[in-house]
Amino acid sequence: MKLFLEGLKKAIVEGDMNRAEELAKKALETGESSLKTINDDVVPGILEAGELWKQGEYFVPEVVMSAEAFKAAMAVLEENQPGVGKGTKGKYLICTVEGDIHDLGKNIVVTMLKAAGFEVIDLGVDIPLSTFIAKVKEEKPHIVGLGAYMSTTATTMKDYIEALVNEKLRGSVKVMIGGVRTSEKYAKELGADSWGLDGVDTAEKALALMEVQQ
Amino acid sequence: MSFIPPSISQTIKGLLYSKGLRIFKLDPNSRNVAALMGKPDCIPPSAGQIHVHSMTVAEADPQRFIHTDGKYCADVQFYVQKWYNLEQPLIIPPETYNFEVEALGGSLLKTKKHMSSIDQNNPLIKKEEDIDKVKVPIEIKWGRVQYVIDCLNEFKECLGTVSTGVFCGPFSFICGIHSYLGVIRDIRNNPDFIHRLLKWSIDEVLIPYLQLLKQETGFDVYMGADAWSAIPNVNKKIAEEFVFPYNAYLREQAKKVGITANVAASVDYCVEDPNRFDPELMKWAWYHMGVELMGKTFLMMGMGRPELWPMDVMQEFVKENKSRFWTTPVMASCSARFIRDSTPHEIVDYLKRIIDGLARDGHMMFFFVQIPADTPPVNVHTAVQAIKTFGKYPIAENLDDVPFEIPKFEPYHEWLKREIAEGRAVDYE
Repeated sequence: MKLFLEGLKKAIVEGDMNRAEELAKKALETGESSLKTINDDVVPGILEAGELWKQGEYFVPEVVMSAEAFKAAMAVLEENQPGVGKGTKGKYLICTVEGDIHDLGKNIVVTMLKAAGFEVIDLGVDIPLSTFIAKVKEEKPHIVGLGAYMSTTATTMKDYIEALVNEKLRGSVKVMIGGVRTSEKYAKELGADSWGLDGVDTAEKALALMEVQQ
Repeated sequence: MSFIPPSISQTIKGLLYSKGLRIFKLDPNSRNVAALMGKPDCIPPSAGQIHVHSMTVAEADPQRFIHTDGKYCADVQFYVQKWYNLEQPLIIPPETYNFEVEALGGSLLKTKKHMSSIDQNNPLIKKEEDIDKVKVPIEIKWGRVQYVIDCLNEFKECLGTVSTGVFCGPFSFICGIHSYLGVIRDIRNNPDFIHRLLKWSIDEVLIPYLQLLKQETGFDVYMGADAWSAIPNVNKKIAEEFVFPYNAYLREQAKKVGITANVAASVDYCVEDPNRFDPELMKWAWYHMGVELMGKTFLMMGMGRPELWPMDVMQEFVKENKSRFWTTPVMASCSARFIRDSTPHEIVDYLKRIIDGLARDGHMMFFFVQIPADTPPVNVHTAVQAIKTFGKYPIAENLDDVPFEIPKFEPYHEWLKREIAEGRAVDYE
């Protein structure tokens, strides 16, 4: 059993999605619970990949493949026990702003947030302001993350933050922004609470925001 | 680096000037040659991806500029670059990474006011057998090929000569047609397919496409944009097996049909986090980026964060790559974030630092790789003026002693109106 589980973590670190899926199934077949497998192996696997990224050992291809392996294992474990992967650290609603249709970076952020223990509501890409506000009201997230990957769309992020203020939602939700055209300074200018440099950084800063909030 | 191929006389003038024979007045082309080979009169500034910034400054109609009117796209970029006093305007249609894939029938996610994006979740080639279903070569009526041709022809009209055209580099092309995730997955699971895809892309798509562009515009020098193969989008192993060999193959095949096609941004060092900077990897990346684009060593500051790069590492690289016949030139730049987010004074300080540290012996050009849409124009005017002031040879011993004021400038529309009235510009609207 232990051998399977160590193998599962390794498969995720090494980004082997087929093996990760296979070993997640084997873990269940041998009587391991979904929750324990997630906590002991799946999450540590993706966190180790994130750590290797921070250390400069991993590049985007390795992180992307680890994220794929993580998702493959999680799909098996969540199918076995629906809702088991729902995070407990807080609710994070994420999207790219209207006009922005890039989702590669956002998807890595989503994976890292899930690994960090967040329940993630991913609205997807090109989300109009009205939809965003309606979803914030409906889901009542602790944090919202806005992504923009083009300089023309990054400018619209301020409208989303202003709308949160106008709708009197800003007091109850923290705001993070991210994307290649954004920066810490830009986040401050727009009135966001934090800026995520990449998936790992976003997850760490989101956890820090939750500590402040609580 | 010169986008407009210099004439023989411009080359000779530039070369002689760089060696100290300063009896000529330099024009932008000969100044570039002089800067490449030694000391010009001053460091020449130019810009690359200034397209959406130009669109914003000129308040151009996004639909026309990005999607339908190549001539308009070229004119707007040309005049905004003239307004900024940039030398050697380089005009790039905004969606360089999309045109070939779109022409072949790839799915694009489009919005009205912004650039489109290839649908990475629905690539045209999902599996290996899909290659055979794609109709090639690209024809003039497909996608926005006519728009690209109109843009290049107007670029030629503006300059009075051909310059450098831009296309999608091989690795980035396969990331468009098969998706980045698909490419990365298959590099691990089915590398033979990726090799086949790259070769097919060059033989059946890119070379015939460049031939079509050459036939319709006369441009015979092209630069392949290849941001998908920047570091950290690829690692060294991927670069060595799937990027460099195919850039070389592209060059060879292009040469056979009378075209010069080099690839820009392959292994461009774009690591964002200074804590992750790795001096050895930086040097490796700089070396290969220069060789891939120029065939020689260059210190090219591409799309990364050069304002954060350690000066001593850059100086070492230049020193280590100096030979009897070649001094590694510096293609200086700053990041898109830096030019947008900094104050004019911060920009001036950075430029003084980079000129002081790397330009004293000449061999420097300045190339703004990306200027974001919402960059305050004062930042660009300041940067251009600062390069021309502090980059004047001989470089002042102490750049802090050189007087400099943040420039005042005429608003773009007023400037353009005057230029049109005085016969130096056309009314592109």
